Amino acid sequence: MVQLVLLILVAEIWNTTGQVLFKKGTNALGKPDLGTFNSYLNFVKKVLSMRTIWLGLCAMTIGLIVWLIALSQGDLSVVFPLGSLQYLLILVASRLVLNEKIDLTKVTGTILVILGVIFIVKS
Amino acid sequence: MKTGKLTFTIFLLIIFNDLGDSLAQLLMKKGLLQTGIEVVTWRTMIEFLAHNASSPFIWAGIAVYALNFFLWIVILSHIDLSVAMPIGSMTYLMIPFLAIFFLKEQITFLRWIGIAFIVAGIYFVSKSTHPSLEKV
Repeated sequence: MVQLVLLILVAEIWNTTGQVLFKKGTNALGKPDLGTFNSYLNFVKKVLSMRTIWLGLCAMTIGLIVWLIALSQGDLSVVFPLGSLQYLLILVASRLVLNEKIDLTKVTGTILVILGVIFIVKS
Repeated sequence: MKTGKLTFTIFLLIIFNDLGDSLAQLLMKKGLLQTGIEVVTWRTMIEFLAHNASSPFIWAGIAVYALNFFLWIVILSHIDLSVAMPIGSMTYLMIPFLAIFFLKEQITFLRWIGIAFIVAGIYFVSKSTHPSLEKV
């Protein structure tokens, strides 16, 4: 049980790392101009040339593999509700690593989402 | 870092992203239902992969995921991760509805409660972005 929880946590930490790397990448990229098809193509090219994005994709892949291992070993009624902790980790990482503004409203909203996800996956 | 305002367009993009996510999962589920292998072990892994490599549903799912990735990057380049992520939980709302229509699944009362919580949560998170702090 402890091992399962740790496994899920490890998967989520990798996923969070991936998302943070994506966000770091887009922060460096700036807002894209996506008026035309060509500008969209340019954007895709730029994104694919960024190391942070690729590192993010690697982190997500590792997260997915660990997640699948957890799924295959664990009781799904434990694994899925714990999966919603992802939102909490993202919230903390956004504040600590990305310096995003976290206010009480955002925290309330995130907690409601977590509760909602738990209800849905538990049902 | 720069905090983008959650505009209607971005909100729509997140809905598209969630729809894409749900669609991809649905396609994969449909593909997997056809393969007929119930338990995947290390031994049946190759067989499992070979079976699914010929499934157009699985490939369609992968294609939708790939397109969705770029959409997600566009979204992240406009708003905070701590906003995009909870709003992205709309997948949890769409999958039940899509599952009713395409997979003929049932929605329990508890699930409706969960849906209500998520809607409320998304509302709060959307409210938390302060347009007054915008610099764009």
